[in-house]
Amino acid sequence: MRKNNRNMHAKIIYNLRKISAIIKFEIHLQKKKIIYFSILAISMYVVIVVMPYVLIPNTSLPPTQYEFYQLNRGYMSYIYLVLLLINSFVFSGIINSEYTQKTALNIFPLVSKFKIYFGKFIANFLILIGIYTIHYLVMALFSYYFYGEPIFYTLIFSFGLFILYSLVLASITTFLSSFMASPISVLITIMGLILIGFDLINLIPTSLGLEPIYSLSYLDNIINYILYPNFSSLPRYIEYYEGSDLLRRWLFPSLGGALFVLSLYSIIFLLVGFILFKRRDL
Amino acid sequence: MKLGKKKGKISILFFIIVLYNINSTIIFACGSEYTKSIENGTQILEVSRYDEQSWIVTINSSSNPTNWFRGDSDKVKAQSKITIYLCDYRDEINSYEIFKWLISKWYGESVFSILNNNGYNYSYFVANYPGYYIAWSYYYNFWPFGTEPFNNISDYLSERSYIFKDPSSFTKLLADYNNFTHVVNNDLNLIALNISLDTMDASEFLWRFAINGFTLASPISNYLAELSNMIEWTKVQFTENKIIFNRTGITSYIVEMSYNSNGNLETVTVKDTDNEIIYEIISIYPKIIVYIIIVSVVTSVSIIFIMINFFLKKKRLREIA
Repeated sequence: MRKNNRNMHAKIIYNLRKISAIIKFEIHLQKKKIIYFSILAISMYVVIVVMPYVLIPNTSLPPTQYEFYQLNRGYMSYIYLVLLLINSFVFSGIINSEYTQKTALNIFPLVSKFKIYFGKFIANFLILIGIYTIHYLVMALFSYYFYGEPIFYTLIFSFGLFILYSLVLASITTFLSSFMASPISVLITIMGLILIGFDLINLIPTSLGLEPIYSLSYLDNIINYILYPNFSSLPRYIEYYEGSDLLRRWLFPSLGGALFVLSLYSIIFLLVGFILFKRRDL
Repeated sequence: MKLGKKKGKISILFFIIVLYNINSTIIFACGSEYTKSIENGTQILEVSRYDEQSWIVTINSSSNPTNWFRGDSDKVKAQSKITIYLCDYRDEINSYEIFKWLISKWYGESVFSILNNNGYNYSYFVANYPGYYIAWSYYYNFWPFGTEPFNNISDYLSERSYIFKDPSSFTKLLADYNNFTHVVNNDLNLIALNISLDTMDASEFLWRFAINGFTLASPISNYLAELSNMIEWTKVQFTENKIIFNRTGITSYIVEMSYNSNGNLETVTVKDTDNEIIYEIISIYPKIIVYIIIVSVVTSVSIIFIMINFFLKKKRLREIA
């Protein structure tokens, strides 16, 4: 019994070592990407968000830190576009490159597809977290530049949800990458989905007044709203009359709901992507 | 070749996003001898020194700094914060707006509201004090002096203040204000309501302005020089960036108010006749702290980069040898 346990222990450690070797290899392979995208994220933030306030004397500053962050976070705004670009660039070729280049399989020929798939995913996601962390730190620094103390502690919650949201996008991109032929087609599809697709899906429940909890563009709203210090007391929807009909417009999901749906999406897309990757011949 | 194409694509994307996101409204100030150099951003005022005993024997035993600067300004290390976020491009302010601002700030909003209800409303001010004050307005959020960390959201949101574009507006306002105080102080309805306004000489008027946040136009040395020549000041002196008030409490004392290049109050120093500091307020600018952080990070990264390169070169040389 004890021997069995020891064997199992050794096996787990052996497997984890293999996955960590793939992670290390992938990060080493993508190290230029990390530098390029970090510089891109910082320089774009400084040029687009900070510079106008510093260089153009009469440009009005958002009255509060909350609005300052919002400027960078609203739908189709700067950060959303950066998120889309960086996420898509990093993950679009993650799996389909294995079909053409067989990078990881050539280096680790005896390693299972499971380890390659998740090793590569974790490595690229760590790269993404690194880039986003740098971005959020720069955001907090410039928020201090304009508003001084205190920096909203809610920025940490927003960052957490932002990472979770990125995980979903990364999972979807990986899923697409596992059956699409080229990274370009994955890029175009994921951009199309985010720019138009998710909103089209949103239209039906919005007209019915139902909470579109499954919609990614709706779930994304919580990253914005959670920044507000009185988040828990904010109304989640507004009601208005159109003629004699009372309509309801949902603003953002509950924290529990968002966490649940985002986690669920991540797991589903990652697993389906893995199944497709496993069944396909390399 | 491939790398070049990739770089090209990234540069194009970068510029598309830059163009897509530049949505800031650019507003230009009108031409004038003076310009507003006030900047968006935050300034923290901190009480750095307070000698209570000297205050009592020099200024007044029944008063303390809170009578001037409110909040916890009588406590050392107490801080106040102001975040300026919008400078209006308008430069003509009617008398109603200016009086509303002045009286609400000096006597409280309730006093102005009573005046308004007793006939001193928009029509009254515009009819009796026609024309405009040439001034820029700016908006700010304000945290009064306190020893606790600042709240996330200020209690005083969207406050407004003015910068007189020309010092002559100050003298016009002084005359109009004193005229209005005579009217109010002789109004029987307002006497019955126990409402009165203080008639002031130029020095006292400027003092009230200064302790409530008097912002100067730029260049401030010229602005102060012109203000100095405009009126025969009895209790005020002007230097390049300072207004010095010679005041009398139990004994004589001096209040020096220095202004930064943006025209904002930077330091307040209260001194007795022996030049001993009784009370002092200094300014802290978060942006300077950010500059220090950026310089430190860039320097450390550069040093690390140079050191890594140096050791790698050394290692390669050793391998070759």
